[in-house]
Amino acid sequence: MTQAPAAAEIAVTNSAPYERAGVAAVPWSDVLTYAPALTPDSVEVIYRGDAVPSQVDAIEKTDDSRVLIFALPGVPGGDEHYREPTVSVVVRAKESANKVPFAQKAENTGNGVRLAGSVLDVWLSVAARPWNDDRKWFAGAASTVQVRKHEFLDVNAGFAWEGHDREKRAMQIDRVRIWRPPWDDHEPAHCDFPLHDQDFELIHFGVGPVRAWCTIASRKFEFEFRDLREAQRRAYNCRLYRTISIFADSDFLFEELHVKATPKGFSGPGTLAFSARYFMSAHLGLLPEIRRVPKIPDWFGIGSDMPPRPGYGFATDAHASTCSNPPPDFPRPDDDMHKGFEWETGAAQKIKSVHLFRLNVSPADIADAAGKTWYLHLLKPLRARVVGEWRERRA
Amino acid sequence: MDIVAKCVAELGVQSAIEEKIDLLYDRLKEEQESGGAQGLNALLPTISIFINYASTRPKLTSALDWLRDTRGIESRDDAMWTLATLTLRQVVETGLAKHAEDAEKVTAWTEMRDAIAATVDAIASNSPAPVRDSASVGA
Repeated sequence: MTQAPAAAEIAVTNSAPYERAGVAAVPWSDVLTYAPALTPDSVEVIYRGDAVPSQVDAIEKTDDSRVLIFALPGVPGGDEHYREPTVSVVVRAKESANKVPFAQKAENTGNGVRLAGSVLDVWLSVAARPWNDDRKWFAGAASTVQVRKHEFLDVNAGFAWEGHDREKRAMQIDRVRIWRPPWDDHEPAHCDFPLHDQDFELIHFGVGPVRAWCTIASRKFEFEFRDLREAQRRAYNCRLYRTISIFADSDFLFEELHVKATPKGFSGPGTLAFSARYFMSAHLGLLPEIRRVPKIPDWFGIGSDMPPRPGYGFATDAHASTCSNPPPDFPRPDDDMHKGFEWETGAAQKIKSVHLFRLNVSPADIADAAGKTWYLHLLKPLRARVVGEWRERRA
Repeated sequence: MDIVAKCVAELGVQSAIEEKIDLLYDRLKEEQESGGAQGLNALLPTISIFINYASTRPKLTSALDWLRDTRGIESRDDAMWTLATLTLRQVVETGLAKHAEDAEKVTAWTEMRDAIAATVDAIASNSPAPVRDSASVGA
């Protein structure tokens, strides 16, 4: 009997009642706890005897931010409460030198980052003023979203009526809101931090067989509150972190948000609860149809009867407000009022969101797709955890 | 004012039709020759796109109200189909006038006018519910 190379076992739970494919992730530090000899650039994940797409990403460019993420082709339905694992996989040192081909791309363009998969091709601006003109409100916005090479945000610009809309953009978080503690009688009860007009920083980006991704961070902003213990005002230095991913062959972008908080001269938590307000400027017809189920305020769909019937879906694990079209105080001419969309998440310390982009879809179908995406990726995602060392026994 | 002129006035698209008539001609011909849909079904998606570009939300809403109030058309799909058909008729008439010196274009516009004539007449004669293929506008 020989001992196999160091490896770790990861339990995966599918809480949906049916078999499905999906992506799961574990902290790389958990893997190292049981398999310290592994190196992040030379591992593979084995499921049912085969290597599956996997990669290790240092999402905030630090060792402790590394995650192992992998895609599984089919996981049987399992425990809806995540009590029992459904299957297990093994992460081990890579045994083959073969490189798995993939379509995803991640590219630093200087003033932004391009993320592309086989369906979507997105350019995200980190610069507030990416074109060096007088418009300085594009920070953190995807000003190009192509669905199979067709621009989604201005779907009929190809008809050359007027050329592309210079204001088009999606996925922009233009404001973060943080609430003061209840003992702080300062008015208003919350602090709003506009983020659209100051550059984000590209923290890191990467690409692999599972996804193309990037992490961007907002400008620093200061959140002030009254300390209950010492009856004086304290402050945190804060930044919004956004990790945005395109998975292989997906027609959505997956986003993870948190506000990193650094206490100024006192001890306090490293993250704060916040809400994110999203803005989108897109031509989805003069009378786009917004479908939302008030009793499940976690997703909505926007559809159109204008060919080629673009549809946008949003889903989150932190609830979302109604989508305003146009937003209150939308600063554009009446002729453009149909292009403005705005909504806000509920408050949470970590927020996950999905942005779904499709063409040739009815309002009912994009709403249905948004709901399913919410269920699969946010309500009932595959969950994984490292359960121990793996020792393969060979005769 | 006939129903076609009233529709175009409600939508506020006449000046855009005149300005973009060459582009409209190219797009309509491309759709006809693409080998996809036939007849009205080939032409109306382009007109629907045009309405969504050249009109405004208040004007489109007003046009939908007008159809509902005067013709009892409640369904959004039916209303959009009707607006697109009537607008197409105006596009064709504008094209015939603007391209009167171009024999090839006159032939093409005339074929389009013939293709939609019966449908426009049916709408103009105030048939209670226009017969249509719902896929022709939105799909």
